[in-house]
Amino acid sequence: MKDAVIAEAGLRHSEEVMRLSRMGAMFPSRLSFLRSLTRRLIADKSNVSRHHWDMDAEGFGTAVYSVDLGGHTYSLFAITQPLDPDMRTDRVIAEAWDSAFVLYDGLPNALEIARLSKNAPLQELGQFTQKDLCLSRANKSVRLFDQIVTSLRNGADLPMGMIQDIGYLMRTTAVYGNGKFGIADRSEIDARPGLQGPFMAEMLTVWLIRTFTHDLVEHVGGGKLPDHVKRQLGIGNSTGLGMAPFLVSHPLLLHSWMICRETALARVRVTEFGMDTAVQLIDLSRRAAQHLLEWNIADPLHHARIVKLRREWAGLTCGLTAELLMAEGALDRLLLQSVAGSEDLQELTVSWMIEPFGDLVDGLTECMANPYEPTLDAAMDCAELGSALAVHCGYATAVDFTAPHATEQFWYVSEAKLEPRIGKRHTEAGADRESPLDITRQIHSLAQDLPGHTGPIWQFLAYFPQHRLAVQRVQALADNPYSEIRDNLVDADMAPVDMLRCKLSFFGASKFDPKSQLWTRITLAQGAPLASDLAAEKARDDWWLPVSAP
Amino acid sequence: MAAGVGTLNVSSNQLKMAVLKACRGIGVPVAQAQEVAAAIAASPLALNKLLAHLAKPISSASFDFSFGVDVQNAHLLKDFSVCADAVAQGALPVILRGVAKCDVTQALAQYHGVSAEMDNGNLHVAPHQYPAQRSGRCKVDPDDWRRLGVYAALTYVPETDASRLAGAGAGLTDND
Repeated sequence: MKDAVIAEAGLRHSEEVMRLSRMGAMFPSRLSFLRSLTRRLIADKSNVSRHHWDMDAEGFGTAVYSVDLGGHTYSLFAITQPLDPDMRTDRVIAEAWDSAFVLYDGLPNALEIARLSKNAPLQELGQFTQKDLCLSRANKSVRLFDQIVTSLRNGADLPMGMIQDIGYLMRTTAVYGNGKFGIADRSEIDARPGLQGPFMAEMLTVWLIRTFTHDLVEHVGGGKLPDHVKRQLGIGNSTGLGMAPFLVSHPLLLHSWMICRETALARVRVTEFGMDTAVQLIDLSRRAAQHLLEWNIADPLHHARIVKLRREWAGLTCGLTAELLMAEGALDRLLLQSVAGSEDLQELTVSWMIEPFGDLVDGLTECMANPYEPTLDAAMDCAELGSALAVHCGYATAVDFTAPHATEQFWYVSEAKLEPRIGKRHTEAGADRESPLDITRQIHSLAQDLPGHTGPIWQFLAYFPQHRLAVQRVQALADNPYSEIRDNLVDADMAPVDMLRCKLSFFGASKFDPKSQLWTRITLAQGAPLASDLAAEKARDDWWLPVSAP
Repeated sequence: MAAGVGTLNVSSNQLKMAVLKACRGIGVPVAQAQEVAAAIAASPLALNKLLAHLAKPISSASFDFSFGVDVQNAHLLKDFSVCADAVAQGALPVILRGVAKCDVTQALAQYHGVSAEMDNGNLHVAPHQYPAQRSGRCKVDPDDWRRLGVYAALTYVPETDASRLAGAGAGLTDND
């Protein structure tokens, strides 16, 4: 039976939670999808097998890995090819990559391997079938890959500092699922055990790619990496604007993710726990401190936030003892104390507090998938909609959209490989082809046109068909308070990287490394169990916030 | 169109997204475009006839609510949604004047759980129940797919040097 979210009264208010700045401060938690996946792999006693390995000495060729999950076999097909450095870009506009991958339904035979070898490197231009569940590509972290190869070939010390700083051998630049470019629709697999949660096939893909990158560097270097080093090597990801629209176009799914996280927090705030859990919280607070120390990035603004967070975290957790934590209401008081600090501190505190309480919160992950989209309640009266606007949409109706900065930016899709981009409305062409992510503005516009109208909303929409989406979204807010980002996504000050961080934190990403306000690199699965850990039955669900190996 | 040799095998989501963009490309509001996209994904054989509707300029319909709903000058893709709403609320009869029954009207009718039948040269929308629909992978005519792509491309912004450099917030090479 599915777990259930709790009554709204005990949750942090959506007006507080659904602000871009807070979403841009989120950390991974034990509810993150990659954590859910590895828990499932551990529970299933899944084994990863390398069925095919046809690589030359330089590491160019093909490989196939398979894993059993929930009664089905899935395979990762990998192909690597030489790449001209001038062609190596993480952007969507790239046309070639160091490696390409397909998550395949079943175990591919020789014919299928030939088909995948031909099409996977083409990515968006390839021809795919229902057997192809995810499509991905990755580029090497050239510095780290080459350095480790050199160390392995020479029998020299591994570059542990670089390994810790970079954290991955390759970074994916796209992981496509749900029917993109002709691969299988999510509806084909979303009822399968192990793949029911959000982005589970994508998470399985990246976890298997990580395994492949370990094998590849060992193959080219001609030596073995110790397991503790491999665990430090996650899989990188480079993410741009393409990820952001998903949060806007799947409001009910966003609500499900958020309310599960907020429910987990609400449960933890009032739970009683014993010495073991208290000690675990202390250990985790130290791990978080170490993680913050080891999280160093180039962007000065974001690095300043990390530096501040280090101080704040020390201030919040310094002097904590297991006995103090076990006092009645101690966690709740700590959370309230964190509110005096930055949103970074508050959100780190949330993820930290949830971490030891798997028994209390892990069941919530079953509530995080949500296939529904807002629908219109056509019977609603205009007056009732007006009330809903007043109650739920102050964040939108209060914006002065006549001010140029309120509409400064516009989201669009470029003709160039359909790369999502952002433009400046008042100085660049293209706003007439704007992507409809300006929900706040649409709700504002609805609120402007609604007064004076009476009767059922469907009649209003006959005259104002352009407001149908806004009406649906406002109606949805009543029962799904976390479904809307409560900020203006076309404002001059809007930073898309905040949306990216929110979504990526749900994936389980850490070491956020923004390269601009539109683009970030991250690390996934750093510290996660290895395939060999699963085989040896020594995999542990204890890798919240990666830190360097002891 | 008989599916077979010379057809494209596309995923349901691929078709849905392409139709959504195409509808947006000609100016159908987003919510209605989403509904058309879901309807066509569930009834992919209607794709060919959809192209004819995409070719029509978006019109401003006039509604008369004095007896049921009487719609003149409708654009099917924009205005069918509100007709289905009216049926769901019991505002009968619902008449779309000058709109002919076709695969697209049937796809939209199925999606919204209504019927759409011709009577005296007009399309009458009425309550109806269908078995549950399930979208799936489908075969489409490559020329239909190409033509759909032309409408979808109306949502894409031509590239400039400036947008290539600054629009996505990342550099052009990543050899680190």
